[in-house]
Amino acid sequence: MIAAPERSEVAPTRTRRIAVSSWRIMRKHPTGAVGLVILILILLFILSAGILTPHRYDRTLSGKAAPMMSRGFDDELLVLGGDELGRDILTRLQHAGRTSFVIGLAAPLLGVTLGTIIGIVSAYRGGIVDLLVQRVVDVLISLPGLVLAMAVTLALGFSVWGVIVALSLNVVGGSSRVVRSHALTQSQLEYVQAARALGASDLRIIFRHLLPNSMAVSLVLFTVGVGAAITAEAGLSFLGLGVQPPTPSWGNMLTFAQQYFRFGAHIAIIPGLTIAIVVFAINLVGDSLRDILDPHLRGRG
Amino acid sequence: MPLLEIEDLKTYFYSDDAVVKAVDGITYDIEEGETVALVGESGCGKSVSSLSILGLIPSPPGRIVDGEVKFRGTDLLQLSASEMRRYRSRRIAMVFQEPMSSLNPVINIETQLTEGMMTQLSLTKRQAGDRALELLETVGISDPERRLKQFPHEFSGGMRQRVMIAIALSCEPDLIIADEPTTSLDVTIQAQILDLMQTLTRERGMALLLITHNLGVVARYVERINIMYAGRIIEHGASTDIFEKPSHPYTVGLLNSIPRIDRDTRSSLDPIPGQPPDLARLPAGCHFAERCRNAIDKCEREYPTTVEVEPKHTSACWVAEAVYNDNALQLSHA
Repeated sequence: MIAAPERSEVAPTRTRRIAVSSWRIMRKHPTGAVGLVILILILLFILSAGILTPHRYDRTLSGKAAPMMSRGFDDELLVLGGDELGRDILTRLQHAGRTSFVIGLAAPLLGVTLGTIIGIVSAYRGGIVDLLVQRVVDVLISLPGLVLAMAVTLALGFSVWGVIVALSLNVVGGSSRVVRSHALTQSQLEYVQAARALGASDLRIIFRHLLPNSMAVSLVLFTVGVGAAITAEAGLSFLGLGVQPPTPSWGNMLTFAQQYFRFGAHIAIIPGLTIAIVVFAINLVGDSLRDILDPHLRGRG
Repeated sequence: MPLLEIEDLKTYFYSDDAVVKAVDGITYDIEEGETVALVGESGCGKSVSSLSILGLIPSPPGRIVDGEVKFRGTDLLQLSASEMRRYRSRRIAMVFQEPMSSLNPVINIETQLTEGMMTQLSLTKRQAGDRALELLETVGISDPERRLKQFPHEFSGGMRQRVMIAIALSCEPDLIIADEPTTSLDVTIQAQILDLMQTLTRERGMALLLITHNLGVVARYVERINIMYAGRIIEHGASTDIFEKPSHPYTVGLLNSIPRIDRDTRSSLDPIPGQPPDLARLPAGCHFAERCRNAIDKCEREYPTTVEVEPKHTSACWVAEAVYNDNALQLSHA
């Protein structure tokens, strides 16, 4: 048998290096690590919809606002109780999480992507293009977010996609402005000039050179956007302009709970608390990510 | 026919209340395979003139107002943007001043090195990768295979400049413009980089336009020198002629202000007094008159015509002959 090589002789593999460096980063940013753990747990919870509980999210199983750990009509165990229509809250929380997360991820993804491209093009082209684009962005930013989102969902219909588009519009303006300022400094650097001297086209410079350099900024904008989008979706749903039943979302669970929460406060507290915890966790991760990706802010704030 | 002919090139920058004449009618040429220097102090328009050749002047505020840039007879200024792109790096490549910022920090060396070859020469990724490896070896980077996968921050300044040279060589251009390629490097590295550029361009029969503010640097490397001052070329000639028999007071001043090993070590350096003029408010007469020791009344009023003091040695100075004779006389005494 060949003796196992000494540990120090083993060349660190790529995965190992990544594991070591991510462990180091986690140690340096414990709050971010906590946020990440919470998020992972919540994601597991959401993804286990249909596995964790045997119930359906749209079936009445008990009386209105049944208390936690109570039994339903057929003696089913309702761990978190029943909602205003006697549906299992635990199951609904999982399914609603899907909607909320899809919207929470897709809206800022769409918004930040658009904002990033607009910002870079605006900064790179400069001159009249920059001027015009930035005035449109001014208009977009000056509109109150929730009002804009309400108007757009009314126009597009209350589907998941409608809500995503509506909420992404809130992100486009702000993110394009941040990315533009970053791209402005980048486009003055010599590597852009060097790429042009190499015969690179404008499109190539924008997508191959400026875009990767703006990724750090966009990523931070995205994480901040996720928390905001989940709250905004809850807000829209609360006003009845978001995702419509029977599709559950954390926001519309809250909406319908408000009429019945005298019978059992838990039907409002549980989705409310979930939103609060998720947004908190995302913000923890986002803050740490900003510190990690932006060396200028390191040690400040 | 020369490889590159620049005729009366004028590049101005326009602001709200002034026109900055960064390049104000310069004329020079470069033969095939020749090494030529463009020397001048900071802000005299040498970089702007080189960016004008490749059509890289930021516009607005800059604009090429007049002139011709003929590359093998084709006027580059008349080309459309996409035609111009095909000249860049395939015919004329450029090495920039700042190796620290001329490479994209978030893209690895291989991608940056192969980018030009893939777009300009339509090589496949594989072919370009093989050539990239060769090129890195050529410019003297050891362990090129590992180095290709690395990012610019893993390279030192001198090595980055070597990478920039490899990128410039990658599309086998006929002319490389090196805009102060060694300014931000250590003196020992400076010599290495210049030697490297000289050998590589000679080997490949490429012409080299060396732009620098350091007359001492170019002495060993170039065949002809153009001295630029405040947007114009004030003296032109073969390298040895310029060094031995300068015929413009500014060139004399430049030569006196650099330490030379063949001079008395106890004598102090003799700097040129004053500041170069504001390019937005150029004087009516000779731009150098204010700082010139040999200035006569006429200098203040009228810009000097260019005279040929000896074959292939020109000077834009009213007293060029006198300055030339003076220096030539000193030479014959020495």
